[in-house]
Amino acid sequence: MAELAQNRMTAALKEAMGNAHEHAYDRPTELPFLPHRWWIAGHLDPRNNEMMILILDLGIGIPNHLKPSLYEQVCAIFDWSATPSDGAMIRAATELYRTSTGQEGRGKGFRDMKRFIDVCDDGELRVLSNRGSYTYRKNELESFADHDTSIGGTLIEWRVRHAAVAEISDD
Amino acid sequence: MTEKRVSLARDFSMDPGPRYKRQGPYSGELFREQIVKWLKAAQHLHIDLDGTTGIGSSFLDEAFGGLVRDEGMSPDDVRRRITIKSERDETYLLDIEESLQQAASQRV
Repeated sequence: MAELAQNRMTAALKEAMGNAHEHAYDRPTELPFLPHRWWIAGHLDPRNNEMMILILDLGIGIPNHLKPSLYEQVCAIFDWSATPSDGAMIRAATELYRTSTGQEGRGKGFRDMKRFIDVCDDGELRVLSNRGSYTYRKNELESFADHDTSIGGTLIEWRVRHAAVAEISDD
Repeated sequence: MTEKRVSLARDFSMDPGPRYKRQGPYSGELFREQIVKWLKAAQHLHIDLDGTTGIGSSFLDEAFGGLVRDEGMSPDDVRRRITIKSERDETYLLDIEESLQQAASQRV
């Protein structure tokens, strides 16, 4: 795998692991069993140059990571009068680095997660958190949605296709 | 003027870690403390970021933005005393510059 893509993958994983460790369980969670745990899994398909990586936690969820003061600012920035849905909140969280809200570089981790997708031949980042979902495809194509039930935590999934994926299996 | 040349990969870690020391080894916080020690011994520091497995934004933010947030330096102090090189991934340089500016705006 090209070194740049490999570096970006590692950076993206470090940020996602850091979030799962630092923010996911800082308050009581929806599903109070297995506290403070998080999981990582990967699947490599060298024949099709495809790779999938998953990181899961059962924490408070990204919509709840936003502090109340920040939440209000986010509502103002995106011009929301009603309470935003979880999907909209996840999307906002991924864009926070563009704002001057100054929350210790919050949102930059998501930018790392997107940058990995941008250097692969093709790929998709999906973030499911509580009732919301957010999808990022290469070159800034993004969408978000809301669902009836909560997954009770956060699942981050990268699916990428990259010509050099096969080399990983040799490393 | 005394100068010091250091490499993140060689002189700190090939595998830079999370933001804070409490989160794990080779954190941005620990690297910031190392930078402060180097800056006491040399007037100018050259830091080479190439050669690692990959650096997360929060590591860079804590290491360099933290110089402004927690060590009392201004963004200009940092720019004047530290030259940073990153050829493989130039986004690191943009991220660091952004962190310096954000840290300065938070301090006011």
